[in-house]
Amino acid sequence: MKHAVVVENLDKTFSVRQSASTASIFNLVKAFSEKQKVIEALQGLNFKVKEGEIFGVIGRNGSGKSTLLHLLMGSIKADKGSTIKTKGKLMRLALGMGTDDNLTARENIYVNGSVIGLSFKRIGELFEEIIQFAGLENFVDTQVKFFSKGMKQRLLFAIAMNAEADIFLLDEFFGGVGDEDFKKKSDQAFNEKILEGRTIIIVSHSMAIISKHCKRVLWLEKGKVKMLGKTKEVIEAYKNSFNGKPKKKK
Amino acid sequence: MKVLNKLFGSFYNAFFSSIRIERIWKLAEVDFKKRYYNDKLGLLWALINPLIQISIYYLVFVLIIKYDKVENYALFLFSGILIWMTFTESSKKGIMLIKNKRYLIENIQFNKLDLFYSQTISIFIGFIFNICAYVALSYIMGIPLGLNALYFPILIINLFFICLGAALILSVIQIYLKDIIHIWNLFLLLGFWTSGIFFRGQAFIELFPPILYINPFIGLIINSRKVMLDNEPPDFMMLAYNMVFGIVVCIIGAFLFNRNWQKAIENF
Repeated sequence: MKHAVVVENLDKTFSVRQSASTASIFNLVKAFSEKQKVIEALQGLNFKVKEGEIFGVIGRNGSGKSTLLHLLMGSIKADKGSTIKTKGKLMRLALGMGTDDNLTARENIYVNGSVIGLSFKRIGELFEEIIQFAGLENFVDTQVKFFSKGMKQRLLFAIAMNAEADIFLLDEFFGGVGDEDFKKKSDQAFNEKILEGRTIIIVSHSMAIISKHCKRVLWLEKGKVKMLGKTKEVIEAYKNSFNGKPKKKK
Repeated sequence: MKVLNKLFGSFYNAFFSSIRIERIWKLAEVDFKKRYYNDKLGLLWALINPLIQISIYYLVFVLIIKYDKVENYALFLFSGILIWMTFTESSKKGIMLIKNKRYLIENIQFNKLDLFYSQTISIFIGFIFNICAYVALSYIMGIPLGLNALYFPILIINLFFICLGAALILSVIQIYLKDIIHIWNLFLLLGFWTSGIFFRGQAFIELFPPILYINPFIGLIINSRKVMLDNEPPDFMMLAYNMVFGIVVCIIGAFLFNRNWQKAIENF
């Protein structure tokens, strides 16, 4: 079986300057000569995701899940010696992100659609479907800033559903958003349109979602792979790790 | 506004078809709309803004200071200010671009340079409206354009390169120096008074000849006035130098941006 994502020896360190207002012309010399604090966000990650697989990533806050998604997207650079191979086009979906408030629903559909690589012709064909699905027929030319949170969610969800990406990175983004009516609709669409036939990496704190969709799960702990294997086993071990050790208050 | 949409749409359909061009165009279009369509006066601002600026400077220079060394001073000012305003806008917006378009950069894989192309294009659409205002004013004042005005599109392309390159370089500097905007504002102020907007650029060159090579706007503005106002051919040496300058700035900008943009997401 072919792999859609191959990650080998993935390291990521962030260099953080200690003093608060470093990035200023007035303390340039100081900022660059100052010893930087090094944070090892990810260390020695190895995993492969098969084409068409739904792969879960779990872990506590700060364990490196989001950093991993950014690295896969290529929006930040990995350390030297790391290998990340991805096949096809990637798109990250996270609720509350991805629309421009000052644009109308129509414009957002066109901008997002064309950025993801759809032709205007194709967007035109999908347009009615997207608007209808999101239930925004009366707000096509309204700026998104006047939308409620639910409306924004629906719009983004409807656009994402039609995105022609090969690999989706879902950052706490699932079907079943919005009110009851839309929840049902979106859940079904999510299963049919996003999950089917695509390679998906799901990052979530919801074990219900992970166990529902994923066959294999990667558990990250302090930037390292704590466990990688079958969903049931990993989730059980993950849950056990909380027992006897109360959650740290942050 | 619908007429404009149709006009640009058909222009676009006639010349381009690839998805990437579509994307750049769409981003430029929404950027342009965001700037001008969100208020009642809309596109009129593209005309009103420079006219008011020119009136103020005209008032100060002609009526108060009694500066009389240049004929047709209103048009003289207009041509200089238009070019400078365009540069100011694109460089300042370049500084903010990664931040403003983060929602796309983070979530979708595409060539991030497209964001810069589209932003510069959208600013130049505004610039073309400004030029229309200039042409109208020049006819009203009885100084119609001559054949040499046909050189002006070359100067526009030249300005485009300089604006695009500056936006790219500044966006990279902004990643490392968050307060670059304050320094850049001072820099723009310096450029505003030393680019030959209010006085003949030749005066600066006589005073300090290397300035012609340091500040490309002196040459650009001198040449623009030659072709638009005096109906003379441009100084081709100056034009060639500025063109090379613009292209080099663009290449440096694109190189720096491609090497550094990921740092921007890290540093937020």
